[in-house]
Amino acid sequence: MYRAAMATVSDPSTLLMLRVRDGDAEAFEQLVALWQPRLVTLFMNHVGDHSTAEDLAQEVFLRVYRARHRYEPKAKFTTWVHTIANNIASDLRQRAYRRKEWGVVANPSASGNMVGLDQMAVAASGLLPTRQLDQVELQGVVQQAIAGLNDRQRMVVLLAKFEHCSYEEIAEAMKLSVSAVKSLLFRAREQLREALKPYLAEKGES
Amino acid sequence: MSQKEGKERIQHGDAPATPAEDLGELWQTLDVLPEAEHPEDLLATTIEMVAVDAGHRRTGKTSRFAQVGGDLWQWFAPAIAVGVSIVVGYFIGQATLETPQPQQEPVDWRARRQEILKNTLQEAIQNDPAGAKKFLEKQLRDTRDTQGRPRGLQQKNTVVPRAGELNVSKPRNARPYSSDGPGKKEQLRGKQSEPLTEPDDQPREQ
Repeated sequence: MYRAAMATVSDPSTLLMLRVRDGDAEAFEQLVALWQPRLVTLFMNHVGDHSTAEDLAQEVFLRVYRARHRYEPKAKFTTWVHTIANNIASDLRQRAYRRKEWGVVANPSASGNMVGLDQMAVAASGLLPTRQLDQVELQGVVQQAIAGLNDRQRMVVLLAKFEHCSYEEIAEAMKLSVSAVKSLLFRAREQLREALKPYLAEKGES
Repeated sequence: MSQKEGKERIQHGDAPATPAEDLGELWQTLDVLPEAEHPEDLLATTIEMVAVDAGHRRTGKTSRFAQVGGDLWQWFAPAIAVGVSIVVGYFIGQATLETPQPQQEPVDWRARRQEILKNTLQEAIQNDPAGAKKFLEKQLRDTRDTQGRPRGLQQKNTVVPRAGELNVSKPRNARPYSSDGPGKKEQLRGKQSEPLTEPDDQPREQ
């Protein structure tokens, strides 16, 4: 317990946040510089839009700054920020649901999106059988596949991939049990595998 | 691995320790997901936005509660001012105006009138007792009808004969009644009383 607490306090981001809590503006600037690119990347792959991702990342830092006096280094700053990021993503989802403004990327039906990916991959390989998907096309296919996941599955995958979070950290950030996170990741993997089957088969052959 | 096998593995807790292991070959495929570009001015914009937000919060402009309170205050302030003015005006009016007491004044008037009347009568009796008595009898006759009832009551209940007409309610040989003594009671019963024995009493001329 003591060792965990010491490890938490020795985390550089946590130390910066403690300085921010004490009113150090320079520490906050360092924290933003350290975390904003990561959060923009996370949100961009989550919502599929760069400018929206920047806005959401800024919203994260607004909330961090507003809540600075309540911050206690019980957990790593990483987990705290991911919790805020997840909350913001949930708020965005709820707002979009109320306004019924889901975009193509943010609101694809799972089955519909799968058909689209299949068609895209088959068409590409069918027109040019020997051609391998280039990087840009592959990126589009994977983005479509990620967008086909539901919001929680997507967040689990993105936190795992981009933030290198463990199951426990993801569970804490998303306020879920570890088994729930594993279940979400398992379903996400099955769905991604199904969506990317043509590409994976081609890759396997090559 | 089938979906069923995966679920069983998750339930038994022997899943891979990290999401990366669980995602398997998909993990490397997700490497193609793009990392966001980071505009140079994003950091400055974020810091400025947080500073502006902190300034607004310090003055209470961005607080939802403060906004709602401000909106309400916008309407309540004039209403409260009007209400206070009405109350203050009422009390000032109460303090400056001497409104007559509706029950007290008639009592004063009645007492004063009785006092004046009493003094007048005493003075009249002292100066001219016979004349005063005659005057009082005349006043009493004027206010009462022949049967001793108040004149107003008689006017309501009986038909007053006009000049030259026969008054059926009054016998032709009716004698005038006295204001005091047994003759009054008898006259009220409809009997004729004995002639007055007092020296000053004179029968009324018909």
